[in-house]
Amino acid sequence: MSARQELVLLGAAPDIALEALRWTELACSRAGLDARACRDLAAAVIEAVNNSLEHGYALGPGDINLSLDAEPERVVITISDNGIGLPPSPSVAIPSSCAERGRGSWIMQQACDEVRHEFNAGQQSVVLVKRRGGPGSDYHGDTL
Amino acid sequence: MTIQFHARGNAEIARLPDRLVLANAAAVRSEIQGRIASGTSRLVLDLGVVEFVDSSGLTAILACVNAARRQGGEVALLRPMPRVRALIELTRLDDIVAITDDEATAVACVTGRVAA
Repeated sequence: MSARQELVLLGAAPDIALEALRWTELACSRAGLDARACRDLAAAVIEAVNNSLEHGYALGPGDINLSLDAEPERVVITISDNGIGLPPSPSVAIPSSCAERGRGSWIMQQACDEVRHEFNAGQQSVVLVKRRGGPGSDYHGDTL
Repeated sequence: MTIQFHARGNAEIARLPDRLVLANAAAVRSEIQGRIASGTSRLVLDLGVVEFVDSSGLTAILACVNAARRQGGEVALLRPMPRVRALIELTRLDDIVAITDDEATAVACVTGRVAA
C-alpha cells in the first residue's frame, strides 16, 4: 500500500530544478518524513534533475517526470526522462577535492539509502530510496 | 546576474545570491572569474544569504578558487548556512578552501595573514 504524488516538469529549462526542489520538500513532508530526510532527498533530487537537464536533454527541450511513493517502511522517488541518458558510474567514489565533476552522484549516494538507474523503453529513470527512521546516510555531520 | 563586490583592505568580498544552482552557476562563475581576471584575486565569497547550493554551484566555487590561485591569489568562504556547509564538507571542498563565520578572519586568510 502506498500513496503516490507526481509532478511533471515541462520544458527542461535549467531553472525547473528549483521547482523540483520545492516539490520534493513538500511531497516528502506530506509523506511524513522528518525535516532532515526531506532536505536530504531534495538535495538528491535536484542532482538527478540536473543530470536529466545536462545529459539527458543537453539543456534542450524535454519533460522530466517526478513521482514519490510513500510506503510504510520507506519513501521512493523516481525521476524519469526520455533523453539520451547518462550511463551510471560503475562505482561512486568520493570526488577529489580539486575535481570539477562527479559531485552530483556522490551527493545522491550520500543522501539516500539506495540509488538505482533503470532503463525501460527509451525512458531513463533514477530511483532514490529513503528508509523511514534510518540513518539515511553515512554522513554524520550537519544535515544536507 | 550582478554580484556585489566591496573592498576590505587588500581583499574584496563578493556577496553571492540566495541560490547557487544549475540555473545561475555559470553566470556567477563568469562574473567572479571576470573580476579575478581584472586583477582582484584575493576574494572572500560571502555565502551568508545562500540558502541552497547544488553540485553546479560547488563547481563554480571551485573554479573561482582555481582561477584566483592561478593569479597568485586566494579565496575564502564566509558564513555558509548549515545546509550549505554540510554539502561543502560532504564533497570535501573544505579540504582546499578556508571557511569561517568571521569576516576579518576571512580577509586575513586571503591576504596571507592567518591560516584558518
